[in-house]
Amino acid sequence: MNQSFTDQEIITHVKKGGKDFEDVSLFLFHQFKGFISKVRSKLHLSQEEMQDAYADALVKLIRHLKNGQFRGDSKVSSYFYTIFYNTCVDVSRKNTSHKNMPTQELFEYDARETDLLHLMDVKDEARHVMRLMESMGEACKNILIDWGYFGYPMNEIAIRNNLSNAESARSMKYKCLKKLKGILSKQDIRK
Amino acid sequence: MPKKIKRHFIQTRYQKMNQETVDKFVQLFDNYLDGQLNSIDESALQTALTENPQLQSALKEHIESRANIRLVGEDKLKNLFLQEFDANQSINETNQTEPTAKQSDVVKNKPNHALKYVLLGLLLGAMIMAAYFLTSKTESKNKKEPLLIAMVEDPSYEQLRGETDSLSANNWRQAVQSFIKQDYQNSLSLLETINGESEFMIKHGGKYELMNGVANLKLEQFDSAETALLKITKENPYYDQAEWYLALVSFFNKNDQRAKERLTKIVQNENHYKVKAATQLLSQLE
Repeated sequence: MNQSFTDQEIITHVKKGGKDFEDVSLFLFHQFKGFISKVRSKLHLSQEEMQDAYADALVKLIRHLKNGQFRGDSKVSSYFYTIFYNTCVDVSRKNTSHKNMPTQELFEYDARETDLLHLMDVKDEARHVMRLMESMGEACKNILIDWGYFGYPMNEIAIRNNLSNAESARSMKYKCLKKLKGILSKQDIRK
Repeated sequence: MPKKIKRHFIQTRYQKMNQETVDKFVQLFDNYLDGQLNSIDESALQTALTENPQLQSALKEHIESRANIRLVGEDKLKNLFLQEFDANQSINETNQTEPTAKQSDVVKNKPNHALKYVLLGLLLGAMIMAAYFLTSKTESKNKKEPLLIAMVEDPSYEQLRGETDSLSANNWRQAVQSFIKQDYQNSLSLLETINGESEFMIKHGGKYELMNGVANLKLEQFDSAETALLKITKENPYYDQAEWYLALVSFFNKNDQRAKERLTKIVQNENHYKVKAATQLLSQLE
């Protein structure tokens, strides 16, 4: 990958979404790979664990860039190194202290989602997200991810998902989002 | 917060909201979640939310949905990164067969090589012997290791768009799992069960033939691999992958002429995702 980005360009591209988002994500992947051997020499993790932690840390970095948690007080590379190192320490701790303990994975709301939930005074519920998209069809899942996570514009979502045009992509997105909300409300009733 | 939106909050405070109004708030929240609104007027929004339970419940549901989408999106991104590790690994393995100019320089300039030959020369006391070692070393450096079928990376097959609750979709998922576990024979048997499903084949024929072709390639059933991959037409999104695997089929089937033709075609398309790998393989053939 020959493309190069400044810290500001990295943030702009991540927030912009779509192809720019994917390009900059790939750039970050290659840019910081040197940290793997650096951290590996300090913490003795397997290659597989290092790669998994590296991918996790990149996802976290992108989340922080996207939601404004990264405020630009340090360089993106230093910020990433801290996240990556801490992620590896977590893995290392899990290996040593909780080897045989069953763990329940918890998912947290990100900073912006938490901000909005706090505005509605739902502080107690704003801790964990319940994952409910598994029951959705792949078509809906892909459209919602392309829109809500990767931030592709509707015309590109149409191409990526074999839909005839932007309008049908928009209509599908609307239906899928409605379907997801239906699943969530059913879950609420059961709670 | 823009004045227009603020006015909107105030106007809707005491009214029962219709769907259109709720959608407008949802859009505002989407913009905030996507980082397109730098700040929101918390007090105005809070008032609107407190006085409109309907809005509050709609927005809470929306945030929960967006959080779910983000989680699944993050999983997908993580998988893309992990796949990138795999892809790099295969490229590196291929690269090992032929060092680049820079790598060759580094190898040539390694001091212990020179020292090794000097010591050998001193020990044996014969320049002929040293020259012999020097020649044999250079030859072994240039010797190309063969690319093995096991090194061939998996195609991208993860997405299944359309109906997913059908028997065909379930068999497809199992076929993918078997493929990941490198149980190619079982993967092919499961693919065979889908073959008759015309609706599935219309929608997912490209990825079906791609996996069928690569599984056959891995099992060194080159004719079947070729037949399957040739079914992927130019208009299909999986065509570029089919081109690459067809080149590999010819390569491993020792049909060098056909492999060269197919690799050249890839190299000539500068936007092809396998330009680098095809160039390397081509130089190996030449």
